[in-house]
Amino acid sequence: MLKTKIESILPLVQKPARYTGGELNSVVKNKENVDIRFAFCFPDTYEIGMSHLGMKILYSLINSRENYWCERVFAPDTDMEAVMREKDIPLFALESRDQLADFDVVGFTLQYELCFTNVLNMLNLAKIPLRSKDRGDSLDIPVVIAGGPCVCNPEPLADFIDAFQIGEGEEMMLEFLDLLNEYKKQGKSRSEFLKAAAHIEGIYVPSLYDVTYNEDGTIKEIKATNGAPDVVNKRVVADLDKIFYPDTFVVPFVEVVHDRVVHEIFRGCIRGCRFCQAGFWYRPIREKSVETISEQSQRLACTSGYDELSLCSLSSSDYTKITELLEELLGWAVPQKINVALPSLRIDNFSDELKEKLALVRRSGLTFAAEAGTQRLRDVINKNISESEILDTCRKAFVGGWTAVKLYFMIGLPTETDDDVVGINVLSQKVVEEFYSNPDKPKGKGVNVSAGVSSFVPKPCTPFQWEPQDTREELKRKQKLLLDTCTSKKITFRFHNTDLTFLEGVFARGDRRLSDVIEAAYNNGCTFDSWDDKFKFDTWLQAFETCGLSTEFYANRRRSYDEVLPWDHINSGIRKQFLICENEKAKNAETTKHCRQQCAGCGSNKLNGGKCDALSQNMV
Amino acid sequence: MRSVRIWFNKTDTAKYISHLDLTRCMVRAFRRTDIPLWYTEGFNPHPHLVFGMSLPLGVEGLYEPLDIRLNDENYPLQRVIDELNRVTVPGIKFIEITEPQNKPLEIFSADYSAQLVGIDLEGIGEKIKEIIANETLTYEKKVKKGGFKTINVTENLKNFEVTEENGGVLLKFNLPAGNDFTVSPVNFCNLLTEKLCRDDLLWRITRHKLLMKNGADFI
Repeated sequence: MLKTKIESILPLVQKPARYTGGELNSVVKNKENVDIRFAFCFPDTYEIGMSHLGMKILYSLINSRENYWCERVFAPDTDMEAVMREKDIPLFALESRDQLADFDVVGFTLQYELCFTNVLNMLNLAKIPLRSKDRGDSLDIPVVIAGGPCVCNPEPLADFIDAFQIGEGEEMMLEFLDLLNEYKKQGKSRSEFLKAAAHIEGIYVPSLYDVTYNEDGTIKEIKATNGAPDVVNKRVVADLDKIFYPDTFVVPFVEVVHDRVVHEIFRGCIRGCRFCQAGFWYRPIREKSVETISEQSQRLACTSGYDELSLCSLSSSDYTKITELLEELLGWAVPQKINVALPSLRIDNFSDELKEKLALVRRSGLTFAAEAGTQRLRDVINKNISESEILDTCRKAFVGGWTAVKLYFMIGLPTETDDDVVGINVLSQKVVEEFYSNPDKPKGKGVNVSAGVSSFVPKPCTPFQWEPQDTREELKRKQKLLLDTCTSKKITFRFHNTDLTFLEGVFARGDRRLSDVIEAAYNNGCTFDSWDDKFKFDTWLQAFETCGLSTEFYANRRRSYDEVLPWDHINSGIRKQFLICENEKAKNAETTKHCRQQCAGCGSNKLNGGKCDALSQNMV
Repeated sequence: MRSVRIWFNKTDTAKYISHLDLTRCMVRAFRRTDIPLWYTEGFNPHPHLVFGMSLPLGVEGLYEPLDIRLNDENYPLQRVIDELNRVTVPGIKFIEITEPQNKPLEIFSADYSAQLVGIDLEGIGEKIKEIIANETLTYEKKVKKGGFKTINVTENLKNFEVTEENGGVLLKFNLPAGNDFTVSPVNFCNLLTEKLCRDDLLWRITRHKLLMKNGADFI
């Protein structure tokens, strides 16, 4: 019945192939033979969700168990949602087209803060009670879980999610499902299951923690109850060569954002840029071997038919054997007409040898993350690249025939002055001049320097987690300052919406009282907040007002080192003392060497039995 | 280099794959096989694939032509079909491979069937016959130059038949489907449900074969 209903609305919506399933390598099982059904939900549209590597890994991992079945669910686009609501069609999974209420687990991946209302909307479309406390004490209603980088601070969603998976899922996911399977068979209750699940390393059950507040609104205490651990350790997998990696990817029919074979070459980052959450959160450093990457990529290319392979990591050129890896990959990729893409390259170790290898790869855009306009500010954020390195690399690129360069910057960084902001213009102008000083520049062609200027958001698990975020007014003033001081037509600026940035800042460091705000905003029509055209800032402000909470308290306030932070009971592995020390060094514009030069003692290797690939290479 | 024509069907959920997406889907299918597909020799080589006539989104096709070129003239033709079926996606099946007799530009019309799905279909067949006999069905089509062009369905409709059995309704008809002029079977069917004032009904439309101007099958 539901299947016919769904079929009847497909002709009415844009790109129906996003809702049909049936893509190559999608997994269909007989539900009679399945113990646990898992709905993997991505709280954004199909095109964005299908680009996400984590989902591909966990989808294949869960389906590798004969008696578990993982299916995919995406947020329906607005036209689809309207028809679904009109015809009373509940949210369904693509493979079986069964409604989510029929599943055992509904799991969300949280990639960015502004997807939170989509999570609520999907639960609502699925007719699952929004709040954990309203889901009763049986396991008949699906257990709602969430993972992904946002769970670095899961608190804003604490009231809606039964259990968070903190950290890497490859092992924790199956342990969690095995336990659920066992408890379901024994007819245990929901609360019994959640209490037991809290003892799996990496599982955080928010309802088992009591949070009390001081009069000034800061947190007094976070207290574990019912025997739950005081601190939840982030889960880390030890060996990327031995850990599960898919043999196949689901190959979408419609064009999605990243439509290619993706291969993660290492986790973590040696650089320690102080603003970067991923750089700390994904530590310690663990590299995958050249052989494993090559073998697995070749298999994926073969089973998907993709003609592009993209390597993925936080800083690809920091992979110790990058040249050897490219040589190996290009060895089989070029004859098979497969294009190898290598994003996330750093300016300072863009070696000639590497460039030679990259010349064999089809040319894509050239993008450099300079992050700040002056050396002083780059030192503050520990972005250890110099102006001469930036200009050198640009010169080489121009000589190599490039005529367009993208530069990434941030405004609103701690200690930033107007000179630093104007410095973005100065540096961009120098890049333009570099182009014209090239004697062999292509005739009749100008240069295009595109400066993407985003606004800094202080994030948990970074040395800047105590810093105030610039107010919206200040960020707008700095954007205007940049435009006013730019004299070249060769430079184009692209800015981020400051209202979006502001809200991101609120949620990044929010506490669980924000659950009320999210629900209020959702009830007043907020969804797809990360889409400029659907973002309703006034509705959000109204929701804060209704709930009696101040946005400035979360975004624009400097926290003291001894304040209890909402995510203090989540252990990323990075020592707080290390973050404090880095924060102090930032104030003095003192840099920290990268992990291979000298271990800074962040502490993240503790969660990995003392092992860190940067450390072992350092000792050799 | 050898030119061959592959015949495939596109049914079930595959009918929702748009024409543009189908091209990409086919190229990837070939890449999963060892078929020696001929690539263009430009700066950015790509395989040479020509579809006879695009299928409207949501319409099934039972015998659709796809022209390709093989680099290796001795590659067994049946193996092309076997290899493609080995790696194909749900809903697309490869039927046979032939030497092209006609040029894709000679395609002029197509035979369709349309099955009506829904409840309370009693007497609907008769009503449809009346509509076809007494009314002129037209719709507006956007043209590339901008503006609209009126398409007259009624005067282009050929071999129209209605059968009612087991409470279901099945239409069979032929409409122009060529490079110069096409009448959409989807719009035709939707016009009928509009005239019937039944927006609860669902059409399952199938394209059976492509024909040339002289009425002979396109082969």
